[in-house]
Amino acid sequence: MNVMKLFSLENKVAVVTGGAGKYGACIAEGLAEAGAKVVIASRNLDNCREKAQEFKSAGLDAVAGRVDIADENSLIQLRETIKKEHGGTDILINNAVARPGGDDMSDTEMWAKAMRINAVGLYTCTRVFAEEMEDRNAGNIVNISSMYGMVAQYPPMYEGTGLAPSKTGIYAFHKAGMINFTRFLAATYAPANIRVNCISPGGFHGKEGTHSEKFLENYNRRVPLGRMAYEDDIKGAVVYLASEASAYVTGHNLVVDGGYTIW
Amino acid sequence: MMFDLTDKTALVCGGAGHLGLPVSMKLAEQGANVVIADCNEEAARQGREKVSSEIPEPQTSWYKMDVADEASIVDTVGEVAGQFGGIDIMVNLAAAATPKTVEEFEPEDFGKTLNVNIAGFFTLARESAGYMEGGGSIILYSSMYGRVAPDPRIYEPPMKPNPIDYGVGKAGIDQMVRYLAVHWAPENIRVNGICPGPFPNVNKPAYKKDPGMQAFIKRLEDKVPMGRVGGREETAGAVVFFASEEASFITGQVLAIDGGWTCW
Repeated sequence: MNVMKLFSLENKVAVVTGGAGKYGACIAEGLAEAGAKVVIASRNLDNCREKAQEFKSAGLDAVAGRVDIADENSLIQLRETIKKEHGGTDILINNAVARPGGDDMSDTEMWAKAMRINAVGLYTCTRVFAEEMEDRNAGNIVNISSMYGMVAQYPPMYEGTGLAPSKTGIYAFHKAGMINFTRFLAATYAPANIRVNCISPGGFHGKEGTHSEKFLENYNRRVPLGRMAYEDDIKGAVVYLASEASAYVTGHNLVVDGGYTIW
Repeated sequence: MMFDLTDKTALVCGGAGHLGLPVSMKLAEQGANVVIADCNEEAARQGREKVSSEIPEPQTSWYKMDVADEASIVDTVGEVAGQFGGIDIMVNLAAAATPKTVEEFEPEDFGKTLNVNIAGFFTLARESAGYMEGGGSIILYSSMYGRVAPDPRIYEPPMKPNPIDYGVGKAGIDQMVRYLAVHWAPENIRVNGICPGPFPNVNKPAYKKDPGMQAFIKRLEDKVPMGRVGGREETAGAVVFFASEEASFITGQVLAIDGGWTCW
């Protein structure tokens, strides 16, 4: 097959959970640019609609969908709506993540809330969509983890930034779990012709001014390529894993961190 | 266009081989000038002809190069860079192995094979990097047997398990990828690896006719979550990806293309 066809997502329907968020929107944009119809899904339908409209204005194929990862019924509803209106879900990007916090919550409450979304929700979302993929004997799932699922945070990075390192390790726990859950899913769903892979990005640069000068200085020193991830940095990885270009790749964790974890 | 390699020059060592030829083809399809280097002169020439006959647009060339011979590497890389005005992408698919069991293996055997698997890879990477002005992408072929040991039960006598000098060389490549990625990051030269799983050349007459080899392939397939061995074109997409701007923030990574072999 011609290599551009290998990477093409024409006629594919891709659901991106948390698709209106900072990484989610980049992922959705990349998939749409490769030809997919993307369903931008999150709890906040207005945000999803706004993002979908923005993509449509740019000539991309995008729709909005409301979903609460913690609610199985809402997941089934999204799946069925997509099935009815667009024929079914070919690609699921598990990108949504909860990082609960706030002065009104104890650490235990934060853990419990995160478990409901990042663990139980991840499982339920995957199972709901994989059921349909199993019926069609085809599917592709990409989980968005983090380099902090592979290595621990580096507390000195926060010195002089006014920020504090995590006290709970909730994110580290869920992202590490996601990486091996990917391998489990890959082995489990391989007979149903469903590939499951993972991407572990480094810290996201975001818009200018998102991070303080001091934090960037501390962070960039830890990175062989000397910078945080830009908006386009995740697109190629997600398109590769979502497309036929990776037809023999399953259970892999693709790290997009500028080398943060290799030294 | 995503994954575009127009005006790039790619040196593909082993670029006429089982996995190498599809890599050369896909790089050319994306617009790269492709130089096939191989120790087998005839294979290199024929591989180049195949690429240029199917994809006439970018320039192609071929060189006889012996990865075991430092002078051959230095000369070839210098000539390629001279011919094309530099090198942007270098892919190395070479490998050497001594078909012996651990008991039969002589310590000296490492000298010959690691001279290819380690020293040759290092020299070719360093020489190529020297011509990557403004940045580049180096892609080294590792193997699942650099990460996991061969299961001896797959290799029924008279077959011998994939030999130790192959695996330790490939494990070395994984670390060479990380080391060189860090070393050349300031020059924006990215270094990544491809870790193929089982890719037997099933079109070889030896595989087609021999029931023992058919049984061997079945045993390989049983080890793979996806239930099959890899097709020769299935590593090329990853090479195109790593070579392109779409991977501009990826360095020091080894991507497994193994149907899940190493994940369970």
